[in-house]
Amino acid sequence: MAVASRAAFRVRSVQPIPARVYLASGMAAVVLMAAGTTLEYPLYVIISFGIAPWLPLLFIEVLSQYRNFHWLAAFFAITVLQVGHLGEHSIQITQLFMSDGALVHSHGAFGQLDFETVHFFWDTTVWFGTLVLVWRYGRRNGWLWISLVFASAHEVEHMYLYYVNVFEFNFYEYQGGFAGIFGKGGMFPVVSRPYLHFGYNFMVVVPMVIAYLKQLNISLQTMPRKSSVSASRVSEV
Amino acid sequence: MRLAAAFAAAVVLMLAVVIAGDQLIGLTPATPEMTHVDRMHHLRLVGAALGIVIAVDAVFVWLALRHPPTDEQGFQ
Repeated sequence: MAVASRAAFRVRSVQPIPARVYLASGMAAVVLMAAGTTLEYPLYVIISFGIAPWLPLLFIEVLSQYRNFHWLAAFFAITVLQVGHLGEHSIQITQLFMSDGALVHSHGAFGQLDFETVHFFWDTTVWFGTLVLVWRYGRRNGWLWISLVFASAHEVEHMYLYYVNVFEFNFYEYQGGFAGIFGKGGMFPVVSRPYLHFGYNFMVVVPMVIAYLKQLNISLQTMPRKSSVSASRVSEV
Repeated sequence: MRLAAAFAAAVVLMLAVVIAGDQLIGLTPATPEMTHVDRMHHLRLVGAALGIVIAVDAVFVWLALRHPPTDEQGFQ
């Protein structure tokens, strides 16, 4: 916790965006989401309204980190995307709780993307991204290894699921293939698939967030002069 | 240490949500059980996926431990 809070403090010192800009973005997000809800837009539109005002800040943050620490910008981008991914799984779990487990009403906010091909390519990208981060930072960052173990296990699930979805669709659709390896009804049943994959993603994303904050702290400690110079450059953008 | 404890607490909370969700709410319709399937065939598929993932992991772990980046930004 100490590392996280220290790193959070450091984030502010690297990224000199005034607090009022964050406040304005937050207020814009709330207003847009409220408008979307009032107008009864679909959930994915409302969530997109909530995300949109933060995108310019995100872009500036990535740019700043690239100028200061190069690879750390990729680490940051992967972490942010993964937090969003975990958010999508959290929404799905909430929908299951609210609909008494009805899968048809529980495909997350962006349910149009809830199919095997998207799962496979997204999780393969995450797995490779984590491997590259382990190569770059793994020797000094144990949290990344926890993330890698679960990203790898998750990848085995999705390789298997994608294969049976493409080549053995009858089995996938009607004979339990959808459950995968550890999903209830699958090869070695543990819990139903949506809960299982929420767990996988939690165990990938939370250590990754901690690893990122730790790495940011290390980077700031090892390059204080360069970061302060570059930070002033960013403030001129 | 406090960070590790906080993480452990978060994992316990996540497991509680997962187990409670599965046991109390579950999934409707339930996924059909794997019946009348060649179990060995599917075990081989899982083994192949596991083999690919372990092989690729091993390459990157070897790189991380034996050939870490040596450029200016290597450990940044």
